[in-house]
Amino acid sequence: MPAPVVGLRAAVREALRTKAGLFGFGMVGFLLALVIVVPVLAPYDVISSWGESERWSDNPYSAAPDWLDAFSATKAARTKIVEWNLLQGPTRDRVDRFTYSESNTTELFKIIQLRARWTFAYDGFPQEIRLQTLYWSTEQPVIAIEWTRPDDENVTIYQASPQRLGPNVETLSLSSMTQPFNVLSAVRQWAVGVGADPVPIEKVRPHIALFAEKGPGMMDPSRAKVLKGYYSMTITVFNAEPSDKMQARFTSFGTVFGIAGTDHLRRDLFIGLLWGAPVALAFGVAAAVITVMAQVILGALGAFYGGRTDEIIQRGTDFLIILPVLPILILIGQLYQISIVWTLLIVVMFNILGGTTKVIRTIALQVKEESYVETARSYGASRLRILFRYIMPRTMPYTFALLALSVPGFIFLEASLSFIGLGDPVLPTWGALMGDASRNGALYNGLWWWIAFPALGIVFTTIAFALLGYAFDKVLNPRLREE
Amino acid sequence: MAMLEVKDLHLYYRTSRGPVKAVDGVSFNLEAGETLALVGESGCGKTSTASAVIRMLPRNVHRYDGSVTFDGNNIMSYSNEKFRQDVRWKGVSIVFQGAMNSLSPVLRVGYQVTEPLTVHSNMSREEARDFAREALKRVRLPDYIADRYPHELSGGMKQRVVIAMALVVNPKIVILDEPTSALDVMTQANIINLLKRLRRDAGLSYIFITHDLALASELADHVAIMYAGKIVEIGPSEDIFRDSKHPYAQRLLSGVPLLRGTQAPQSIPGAPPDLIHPPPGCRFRPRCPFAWEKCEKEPPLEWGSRKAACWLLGEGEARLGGIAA
Amino acid sequence: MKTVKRSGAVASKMALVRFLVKRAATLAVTLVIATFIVVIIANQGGLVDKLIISEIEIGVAQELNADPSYRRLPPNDQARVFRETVQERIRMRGLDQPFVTKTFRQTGDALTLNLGLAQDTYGTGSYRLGTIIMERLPRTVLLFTTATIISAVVGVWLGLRMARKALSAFDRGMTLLSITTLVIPSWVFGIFFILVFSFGLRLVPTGGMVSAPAPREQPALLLDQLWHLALPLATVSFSSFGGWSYTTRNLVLQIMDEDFVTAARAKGLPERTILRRYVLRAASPPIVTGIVLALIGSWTGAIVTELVFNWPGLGLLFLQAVQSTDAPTIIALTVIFAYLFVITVFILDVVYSLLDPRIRALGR
Repeated sequence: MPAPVVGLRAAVREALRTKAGLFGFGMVGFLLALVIVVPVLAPYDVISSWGESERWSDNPYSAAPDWLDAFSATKAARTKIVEWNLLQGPTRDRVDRFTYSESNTTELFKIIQLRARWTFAYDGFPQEIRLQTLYWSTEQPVIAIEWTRPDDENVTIYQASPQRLGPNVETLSLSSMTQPFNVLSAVRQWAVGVGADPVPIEKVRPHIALFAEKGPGMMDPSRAKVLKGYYSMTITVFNAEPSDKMQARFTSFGTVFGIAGTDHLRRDLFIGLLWGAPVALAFGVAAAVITVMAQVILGALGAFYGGRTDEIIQRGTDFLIILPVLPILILIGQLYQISIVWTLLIVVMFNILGGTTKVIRTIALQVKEESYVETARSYGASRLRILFRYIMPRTMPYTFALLALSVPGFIFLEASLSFIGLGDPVLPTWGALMGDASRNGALYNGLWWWIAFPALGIVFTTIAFALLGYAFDKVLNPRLREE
Repeated sequence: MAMLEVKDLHLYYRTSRGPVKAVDGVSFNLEAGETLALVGESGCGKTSTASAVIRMLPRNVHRYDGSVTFDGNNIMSYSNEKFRQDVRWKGVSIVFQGAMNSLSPVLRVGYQVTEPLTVHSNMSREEARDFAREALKRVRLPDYIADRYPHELSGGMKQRVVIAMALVVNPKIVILDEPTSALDVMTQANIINLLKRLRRDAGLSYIFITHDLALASELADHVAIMYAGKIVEIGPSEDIFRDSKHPYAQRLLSGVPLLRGTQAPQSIPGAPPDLIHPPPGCRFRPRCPFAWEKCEKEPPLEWGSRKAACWLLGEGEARLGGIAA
Repeated sequence: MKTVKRSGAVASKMALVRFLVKRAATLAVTLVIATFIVVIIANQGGLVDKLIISEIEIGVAQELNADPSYRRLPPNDQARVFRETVQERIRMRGLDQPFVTKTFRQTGDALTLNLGLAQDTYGTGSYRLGTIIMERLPRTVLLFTTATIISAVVGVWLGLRMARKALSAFDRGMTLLSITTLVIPSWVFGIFFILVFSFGLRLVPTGGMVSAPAPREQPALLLDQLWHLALPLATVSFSSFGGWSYTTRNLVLQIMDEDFVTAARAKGLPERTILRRYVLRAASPPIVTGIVLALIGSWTGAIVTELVFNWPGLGLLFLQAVQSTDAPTIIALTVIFAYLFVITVFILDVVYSLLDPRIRALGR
């Protein structure tokens, strides 16, 4: 029979010799690296803004990962931003600028013109187009927005004197119904004029029509084809006061974004995924360590002191084993919005005694009967000393494998809670991402990455710890070793 | 023709650090009615030899060969199934070391004693139960024991049960592996007396494995002393106990303290060798006070009438004179 | 001799009884305390009551103000009628009692399975909780208990084969598969499988127990139900077999190394007999315990799994009840669950103690 492995270092070394141990350590190592790197790369203020929509407003919503179209013949649209001096919002390097010019300046008025020109070379249409303007004026100027296409078509999509002007950002979404009808009707009128089949006003999609090749299907998303080439947009302010200022930002949203896409609130899923790792790990490891240690100590204490203490611990263990944690967590989560720290506390409370307590108690009872313990007691060693120096080391092998194997269970508990939507309301955990995805029709709309990536994250972490625990199990349970 | 003839038996185990040569060319004979004691330190291969004889092999066997003739039959050539039916228990039974663990905790004792009967002879349950009661009586146990579970019996009682179990199909040879090491001295004496009586009544042959020389001297007709997987000396117990020839055997026997005598017991310096890489030549060489160049070659076991694997016999006798014991 | 024999057997039986009584007591206490806790939480320490009361007040005010005869009453009378109506409603819902009394009463009711009325019919057409639960319970059992049985049978059989061929490629591969699947909960598998088999390959429906609209005639209805059952059943079974196979394998290997198995082999018993009589008998107590843990796990995990598959069983009912703060339903479900649990654990304790005579000794 092979000799039992003693000591943590020896156990680790032995575990590394097995394939499972190697993989397990490797995977856990990777996760640990993530935990360290992520707070540096994506600092916490990114996360605290997980709940703020402002931070993410320049991303498309429910976008696919941008490397996906490497697998298909068509290239999907990417986000393009052109701005002039718009101070709000994050500054990006790849943002182009409008050209600004003023003309016909007299004492009483002037003409401001902002002009942008860019190439659109994608096979797919943008998700939507949006214009944000910031204008200071006391009078009511006339603003005209003109759209020029590669086929030299010029569309005046907007020409009016907007009512409320002041130092507020006006967002003109040029894609949706909630915007002034005159944009939609201007686009429709022009499109029909160049041969498009007519479409009811509420079905007009400027982000399709304005980019589509002329033809009968140009207003129909299923038939329209993209016209590639140079596009330009000109914003002209007539009757501007000499002191007026204008800023603008035009965004053409792509349909893909980033390494992992975005969710329904435009949040970068990659950041969510990255942050899922440290959160899951922190929760799982903290819960595992605290509960296993508590169970081991209490089990040993019960065995050692015997009598009433033992009885109480035993009854308590039986009770806590039977009590179901998840339903109660769900109940509490629904009624009170609990943060992940509270979830941790409740989970720990329910697991402070458990199956391990019984096993450790059995081991401790055996050790207690052995002669070297009697010897120690005979020379006056205190009970505590015996507990730590003799009983605990004997429980170490079992404990370590158990630690590794407990982590996944806790990660899943938290993920289950978050999936239902009752987890931490602020943090982007993997379970929360999956829950969001499932509730927002990820499966039905083919946005598989939204639900699959966090799921993969959970699976990866789980397997990492399972392999680790399995390797330790093999090492420390001599009968399972390969000899 | 002896009842059991073992020639050049090998049993190696496979481990991650290399094959362990637990039984490395062991040969001995056992006549009917004789008792052979297999003596040696822990880890010298005694138990492995017994396992090898009855083909109780672990999962990690590296090498298993040799010749074992039982009652004229070459049992090494038997298939596993034939071995199970003809040799196991009916021919050779075994009382394991730590008898307490030989009994399944979830089955009643009587049932376990009866089992070999229902397997090896076509007895009905009732007949078998009577037989079992007889067997228990033979080992001086009351028959209500048959309805008990092992955990309800004391160590000595369990040992008797296991002995009863070993005898129940009237084997020719019983291998006893340290049958008394876990027992107190009184119980030990009882068990030994029991074994003697059974041997006399049923004409059994024993292979008695022990590290306790006193016990060996009580029961054995012949003694084989093992060291590092090999038999280093074998012969009638008289010869061995009174005048052993192998330095290891001598040291072993002189290690027993005498009640009356001024001679201090001598221990053997060093530690038993690694069975994965045993020393070349005579395996005792590193610890032997008489070692000389000849010992780099492995010595044969037979030297005329005495069998001790040492170059000191024969030509080496002369050397003994000049070297202090 | 005779007296010794009788006391031996009788002592053994008494120890067994004592052990079982102790266990029953612990389980009963757990049941009561768990129910009590849930009642308190579900009522949110009285908060839910206050919310319901204000809801009643608003509702009554709206109703009365829509009634012209009420509006014609002088203000004092209006106030009086309002108060009386509200009070009566409160009394009807049993909210007029102090919180503590109510809690004890509800706990008592729950424990005696006097479950009362839910706040919604949950599609069953009845408010009676007994009816609602009885309609949904078989669905959960159909899915989860069947899956547990399948995965147990398949898993144990696999575990035995793995132990027989220990360290072979088959064993190593299956061990890896077992440990990687047993740690992942069934709902995660569910999501992946739905993605692949429902949306990707379109082999099975994405959820629910029957199609909408459901077929009306018998063979068609049954087939439709089976078709809907296929993926959830396969998923839950797949996610749990690993636990069975891995633990069985290790258990069997451990037992095969035990001395009494070696002794049995030396006795010349055929291998199959050894397997059956020695190895499996010795392995059955831990396997039986494993059943308890598996059932516990599956019932708790059932909640999210039912959500993912949109399976209208007790788990989904629990979620719906929690989300609408339907306290009576929550309490009823918890009690049912607790009873099922406790009874299962107790039965298994009895079975275990019958299988392993040493346990009876411990009860002393």
